Amino acid sequence: MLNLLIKDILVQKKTFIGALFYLVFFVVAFQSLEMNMFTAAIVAFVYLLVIGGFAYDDKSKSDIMLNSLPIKRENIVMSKYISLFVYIAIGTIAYIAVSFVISLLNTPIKTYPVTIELIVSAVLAVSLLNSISFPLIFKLGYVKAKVFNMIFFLTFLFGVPLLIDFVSKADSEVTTAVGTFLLNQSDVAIASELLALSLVFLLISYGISVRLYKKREF
Amino acid sequence: MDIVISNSSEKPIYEQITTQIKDAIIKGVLKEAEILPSIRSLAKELKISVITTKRAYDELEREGFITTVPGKGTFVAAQNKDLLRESRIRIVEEKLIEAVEAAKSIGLSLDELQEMLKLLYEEDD
Amino acid sequence: MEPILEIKNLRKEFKDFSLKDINLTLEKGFIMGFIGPNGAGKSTTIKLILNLMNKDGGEIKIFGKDNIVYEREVKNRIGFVLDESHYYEEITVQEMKSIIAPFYERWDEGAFKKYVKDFGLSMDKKIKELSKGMKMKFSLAIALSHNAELLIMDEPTSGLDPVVRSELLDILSDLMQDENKGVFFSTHITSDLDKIADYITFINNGEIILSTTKDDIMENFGLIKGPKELIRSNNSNGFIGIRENQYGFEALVQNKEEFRKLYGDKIVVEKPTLEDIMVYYTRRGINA
Repeated sequence: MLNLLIKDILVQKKTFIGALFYLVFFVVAFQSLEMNMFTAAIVAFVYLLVIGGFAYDDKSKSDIMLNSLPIKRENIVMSKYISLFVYIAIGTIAYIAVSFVISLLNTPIKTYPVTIELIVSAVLAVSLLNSISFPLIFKLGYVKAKVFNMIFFLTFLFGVPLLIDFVSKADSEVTTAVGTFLLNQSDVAIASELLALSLVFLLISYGISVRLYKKREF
Repeated sequence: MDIVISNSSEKPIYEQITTQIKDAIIKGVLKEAEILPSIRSLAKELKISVITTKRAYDELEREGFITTVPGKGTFVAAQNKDLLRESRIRIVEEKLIEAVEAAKSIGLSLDELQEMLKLLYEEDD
Repeated sequence: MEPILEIKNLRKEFKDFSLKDINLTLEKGFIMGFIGPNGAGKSTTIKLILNLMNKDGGEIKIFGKDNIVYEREVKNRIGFVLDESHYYEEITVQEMKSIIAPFYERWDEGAFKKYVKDFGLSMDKKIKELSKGMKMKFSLAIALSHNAELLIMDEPTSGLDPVVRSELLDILSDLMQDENKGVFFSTHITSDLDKIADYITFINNGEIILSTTKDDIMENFGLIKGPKELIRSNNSNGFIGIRENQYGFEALVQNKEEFRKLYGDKIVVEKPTLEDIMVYYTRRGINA
């Protein structure tokens, strides 16, 4: 399965460069989000690479070749889910590098450090977004799923930071209750819970994806 | 050993092979205990199916011309040469009977017939 | 010894086409040609063998094992060459190989290098820079470099020139020197099989029309040509297909000896090519 991951990276050398530019663009364009631009940037970065991988598979109809090899379909699906974390890691490193470079230049662009909270929120956002779009792609194929994915992606991109913003400023019983609950927990606990939540989304999504992909015909 | 196959001949290919191998054995081109190509390499060289070559070899083995030793290969069998010679001699005999009867029917004498035979035999040399 | 490939009562239904009662057996050590016109069901059958599609009924056994239950094990021992290379165009031959090779348990790098050299493949070229013939050779190099016992080929030579086709046949010939291997080769270019195939299975409209040795076909089937009056008087029985022209008729029969006895000098009897067989059976379907 490592090979499937390598495969996705190998075929996308050009896309990585493009994704890097996206990162820079996000840092510059989403200054208003302040710290949270990280989450948005990572979601975009991962999205680009994940979609890129699926697009290449689709263009070369490589599903036919891959499924003729002695590979279990579960592994093909699994590799896509694991690639999410690989891209998050690469994206984080790239973000740090980009921020560092920008901070050296004397521009009005502000950069923010990457914190554990930010990484966790990025993992959560990426997990949520892709948990929904992956089963669609595995069932319909990349091309047909494109429209849905675009909608989801944009909703997430603009929706999540707005949601975070709204929640932190809103004043209702639910938010107070959740807020209290969260305040009573240590940062580590919150982080673990959010990560666990992400994992749950991903696992459920994986189960669905595998079932759908196994039925797929080429 | 030369084997030439004709695709357009009416004779089935396996038969063409058996005939040519039999001839080669009779004429001594293929000697006793000489090793023959495997059915697969023969099929490859002649560009035909291995089923065909196997059929040819099976028939040749059935008729005693060749013998297969498992693990070692296929060889020209021993005594058949004499048996073959005998059957071929019989063919010559049959043809001579034909010639004799044909000669008698037009009143050719034995001496004239012998003269003809001598001329024809020496013609090829 | 169990057959290398065994298909029993295979069935697959589509909206406007169905594959039914597909039965065929291939023992190891032989080449089976799978012929039929376009759309007959050849590719569908092969996709079902490789589990790229879900069957609606029947059984497929490879090396005696069910092709779905033992999917991975079986695929490790199969080499495949499909009609379009489904490789990633943007990467090099070397990179593509390095992605595929680790999936095979018995990958033989030495064999691969030898084939690359024999075929004149350039490892640094991008897949998209390869000609169609080279792409097929690349597929073949991979298929032959992991100790595969069964080679499955789906129209590997369509779109290739006769020289490349002839080279492929030579390679298959060499491969078959090993009596433990088998080749299942689908094509509509039957001239490739006229020489090299041991068995022929003919499929049309989703059904197997005949499955037998090539020798049987060549020895018993015949192309009969004669004056038109003969088919008027005859009840057209025994003719698989007839073509009439201004000057006579041509027909395919399954038992040329009988016709020879029946008509003697009045007809000309010739050996049919596999193409003749395919055309006459197919045309009969259209006219029936």
